[in-house]
Amino acid sequence: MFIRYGVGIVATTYTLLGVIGFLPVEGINSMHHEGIGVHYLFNIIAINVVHNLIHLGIGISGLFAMRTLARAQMWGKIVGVVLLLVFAAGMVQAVMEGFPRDQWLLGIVPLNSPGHTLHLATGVVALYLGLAKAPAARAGAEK
Amino acid sequence: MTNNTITREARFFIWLVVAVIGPFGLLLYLYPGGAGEYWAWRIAQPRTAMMVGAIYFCCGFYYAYLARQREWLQLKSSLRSLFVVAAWLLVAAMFHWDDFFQYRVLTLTWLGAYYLPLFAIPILFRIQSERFGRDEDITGVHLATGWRVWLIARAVVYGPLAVAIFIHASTISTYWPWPIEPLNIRIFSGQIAVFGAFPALAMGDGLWRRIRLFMMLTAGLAVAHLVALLVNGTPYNINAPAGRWLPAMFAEWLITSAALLWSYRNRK
Repeated sequence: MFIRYGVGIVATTYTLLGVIGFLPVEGINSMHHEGIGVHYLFNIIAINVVHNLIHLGIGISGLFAMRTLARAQMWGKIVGVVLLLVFAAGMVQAVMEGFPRDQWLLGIVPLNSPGHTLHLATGVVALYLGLAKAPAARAGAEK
Repeated sequence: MTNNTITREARFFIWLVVAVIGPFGLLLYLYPGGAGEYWAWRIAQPRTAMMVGAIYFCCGFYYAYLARQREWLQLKSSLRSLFVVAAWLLVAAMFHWDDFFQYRVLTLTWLGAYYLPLFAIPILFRIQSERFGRDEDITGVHLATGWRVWLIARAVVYGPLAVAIFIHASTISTYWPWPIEPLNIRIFSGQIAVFGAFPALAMGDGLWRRIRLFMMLTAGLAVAHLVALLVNGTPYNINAPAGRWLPAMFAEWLITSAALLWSYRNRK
């Protein structure tokens, strides 16, 4: 079923990002001399321990939620809305601060433009999965 | 089960791709001199901008054409190639993030345009499969053995070549016929991977329809690149190691795709 499958893809991605973000490997999580003193996941996404834990939380909760359709859809709605709100908040903050290289959301989570766009892309996908009609419901409606 | 229908989600996604990459192509290909002012990353030479823009320019038209097709089979290879390109270019961005202008509108749009296919395309394939079944047992004209061997031979050459160019981008940039940044070499290597090697994978069982539209795109892109080499004002050093190789490669893309389209014209 594509909804559970899609939730699995998004959740697996976030779980991997969370795990990889903790790896103490300079080539994967580099520091940047012009940044705000945090690591950069794959050299592009600003992260710290809190950010990694949030990624892990999103990912692991999704992996549990994908086991049933109802939970997968609920997860899609919640995570989709949260990610889109984080994207909006991050962009508003970036505008107010004059588009810095990186920024601190609520003073604890480092963000930058690759992070914002990842939140936007995955937020849209998660929200679609949360709101999509399940195949059984669609088939019933078509009858 | 029929596979002669495309889900509305896939069609929406393709129009979204057109809406994003169409303007990219128009800007870079038709206004390459101003790339430094608007584009997502540093591009010093107008010819480089045209070479990057050629892919967006051609794909913009191509996906608009694709969005009007009815057969899923025709879309599959193009969506798969988009997935490969998105992943390839995101990895290139990871190597060169310092060359990007972080908060330009086109940077944010570009990043979003390359994240989204990585999540959306596998889901679109799943939706298509669940609603309309798999496209097994589809009949049609198959490519002759000679063509299949040729496409595989190209892939054997272009695939490793693209990977080698990606890995050794800094060195390759010194062989280039005009000054070019390693990031743009890596971006360009993605085109070699997709247009040189991908058709061999996409043809699968050799059914012509699987790659017919993709070959139209290949021909168009080769022409766009050759035009960019000819009309642009950037000095071109024909004696550089890649000076003759580059137009020869585009000519091969054009000849192979045009010959295939001619050989199988009016045959599906």
